[in-house]
Amino acid sequence: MSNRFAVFTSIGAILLFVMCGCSEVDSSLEKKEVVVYTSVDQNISEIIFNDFEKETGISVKPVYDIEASKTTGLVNRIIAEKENPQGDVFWSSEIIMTLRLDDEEIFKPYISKNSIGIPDSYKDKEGYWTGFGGRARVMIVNTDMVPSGDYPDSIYDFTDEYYRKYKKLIAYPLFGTSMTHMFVMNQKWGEEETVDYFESAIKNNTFMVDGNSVVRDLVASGDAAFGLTDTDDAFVAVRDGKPVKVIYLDQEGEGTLLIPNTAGVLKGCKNSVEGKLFIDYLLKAETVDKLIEIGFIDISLQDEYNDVRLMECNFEEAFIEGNGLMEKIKENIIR
Amino acid sequence: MNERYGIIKKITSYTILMFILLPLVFVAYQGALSGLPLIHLLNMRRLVLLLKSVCLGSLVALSSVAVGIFFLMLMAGRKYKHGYFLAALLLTFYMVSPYIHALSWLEIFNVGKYAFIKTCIVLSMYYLPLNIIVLALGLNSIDNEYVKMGRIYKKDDIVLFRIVLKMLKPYILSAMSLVFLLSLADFSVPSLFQLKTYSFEIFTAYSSGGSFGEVFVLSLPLIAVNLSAFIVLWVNSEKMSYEFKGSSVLKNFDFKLGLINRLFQFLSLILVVILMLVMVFNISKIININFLFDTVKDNTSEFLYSLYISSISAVISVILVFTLIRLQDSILSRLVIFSPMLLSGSIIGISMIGLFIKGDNYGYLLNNSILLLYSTIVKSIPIIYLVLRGSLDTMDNNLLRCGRVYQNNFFHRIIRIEIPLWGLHFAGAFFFGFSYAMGEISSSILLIPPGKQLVSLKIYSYLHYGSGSRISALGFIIILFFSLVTSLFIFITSRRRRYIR
Repeated sequence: MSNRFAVFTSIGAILLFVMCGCSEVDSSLEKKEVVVYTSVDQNISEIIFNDFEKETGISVKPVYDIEASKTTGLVNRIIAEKENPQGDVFWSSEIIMTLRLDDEEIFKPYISKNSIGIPDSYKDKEGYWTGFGGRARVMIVNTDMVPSGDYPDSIYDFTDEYYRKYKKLIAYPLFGTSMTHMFVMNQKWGEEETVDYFESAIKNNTFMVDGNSVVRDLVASGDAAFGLTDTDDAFVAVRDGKPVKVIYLDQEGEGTLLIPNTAGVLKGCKNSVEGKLFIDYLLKAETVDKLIEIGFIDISLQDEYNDVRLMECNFEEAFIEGNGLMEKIKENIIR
Repeated sequence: MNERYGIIKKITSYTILMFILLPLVFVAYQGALSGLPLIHLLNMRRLVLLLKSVCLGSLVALSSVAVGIFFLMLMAGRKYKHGYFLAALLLTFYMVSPYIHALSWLEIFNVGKYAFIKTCIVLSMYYLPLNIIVLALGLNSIDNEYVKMGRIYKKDDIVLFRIVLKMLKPYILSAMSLVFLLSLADFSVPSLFQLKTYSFEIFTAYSSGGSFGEVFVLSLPLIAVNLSAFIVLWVNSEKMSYEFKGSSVLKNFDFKLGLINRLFQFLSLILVVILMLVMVFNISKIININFLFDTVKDNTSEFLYSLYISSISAVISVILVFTLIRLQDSILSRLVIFSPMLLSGSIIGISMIGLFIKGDNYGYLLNNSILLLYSTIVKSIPIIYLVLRGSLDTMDNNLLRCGRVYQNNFFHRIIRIEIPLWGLHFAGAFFFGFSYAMGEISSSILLIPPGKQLVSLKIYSYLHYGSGSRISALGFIIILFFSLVTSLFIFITSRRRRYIR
């Protein structure tokens, strides 16, 4: 083939590359819209976006994160886009990454009228972020493998000699809600005791796996007897009819950890008004009820805490104190 | 006239090289600026971890290529009418990302002991289709005359090792270095089986609040290791011959091998059958046709957008690589072409944002998918180069020369002679680029425009929610679609193929 053809085709390729993006018209000029960056699974958040569009007429342009990137792909994108933000709102399924973004001064303050009633420990006092409903950390137990009188119900059961006979699972405490849980443990116990805890758990026949959904799947399939996960993951196995039981942690003691959903308006965003309206919508009792109905969260922060005893903690302090712990965990636990 | 044409040639080739190199230059600049003060992070623990990862990568490369060679020997020369279709079907497995592939293997392996061996097996099987196709291209480029000569004097087993494998060496080493590079960069499969690797360490830094400088410094030793594999890759791609006379070993392979070789062939066949069964196992969960239609209906926009991104990026990548091969197939261009393999998709994605964020047009570039296309093209170019370069070896240049004599008109020559002759090679490279783009997630997640979604990302969303049958359905539909396109392509080109050796 002649080289001239190669030159022509390559010029054509570059033109195609530039032209392929030109087909879309900038819809923001014609229609009100809000760009939402969310780490909530698409099949959950899509329902809320559709309802919001129907109610307000504002179209939602979502950007989703995925479990494979440990819900941190978007956070890195938001930080990289700090100088020229493309999103309006960040809606997270947990809190630590929101605190990380707050640390980077990504949010602008907004106190929604619907945040009244949410306990102070679940929202920023200046309104940079707000928590609004959560998933609890729970034990998922395979009922075929563990007899009913033997069900574990405490975080300390992972280190209890009695439970050595059972294969147990914890997700790597380096990402997501498992990291948040470790940060809170660190705040309560201190670094040394937290590292000791994980070391003892591993010696006591506990394995670390890739994520909370993997914990659920392996316990449900009988590959392990029990494991630590979140309610949204655990209830999937229950809905699928797997032989599992979900147990809230330490109901006789300090209670279980609640990981709140969080949301904030991004500083310098293009659709600030629509962004604030979206936050108002998320914090509405009806929206939280819908999320509970779908099975994504199980506890509303606006309500009394029903039957579930929750652990008291200060997430902001846990985040600051926990940063130094990561290196120790990597060195001593995840080898 | 010629002088002016020479300048156009140079400008074109250097523009393409700059296009590939730009994000990497940015990463190097930013990394050096913010990362070098953090050089103390490279401690002994991390270097030991790197060594473990290198061992894993080497073992994966070795075992995957070995199985690939024996399987290919078993299949070669058997005159399967649908051989091309089978190759394309094998390639479709490559469209599923390694993590989802590994999840299928969890049906066989549980989590716990022997993580290193389990990871090694799963990664080897994942890269097997890629190996088989690269090695098949190599076997197809070896002149059977050498084999005929050898078989007069020596036994088939000796000819196999001393002639065929020796001549196949550039392809074997290229395939090995490619698999080594890809498996070294993958953290998802090892972490699923509880094996800590160096790329997982980098991912942890990236995911849990590490700065760009920290990630860059941690990437340096990996880049150094990659460079050595990378040198093997381009040195051997240099040795892939361009001219071919006679008939290929692949089509005339009728060796009568000894017991040990036949045993290895049998083992490789069993492994390929297991690979297919594992993948089909997931697919078998979704035999309800209504469910399949519902899945298509629910994900139409994601399918269309994935097809758009994958097709456009594959077409552009093939054209750019082809142009570079024709205009400047030098050491420099090869160095640039393979350089994206040194960096992970996430780092390339972040560098794309960093490159354009300060410009007024960032929103335009992002929202119109240009940044996503750019990163996908840059990442798929090395694989496309290997496939296209190997495939071009099978081209009989005499046919082209004859065509040029009879058709003086430039455009007639292109349409009537060159495109029909080169079409098959372009299509092969396109399929590789398309497959890669369909499975890519790490840079896509950073560059996908608001309001758009890719099937690969949607599958992960379902995955987290535990909808196993939905994942299978999506995977099945991709494979079905790809198989239909392949069949159509083979049907159309079947009349042309007889002209190619």
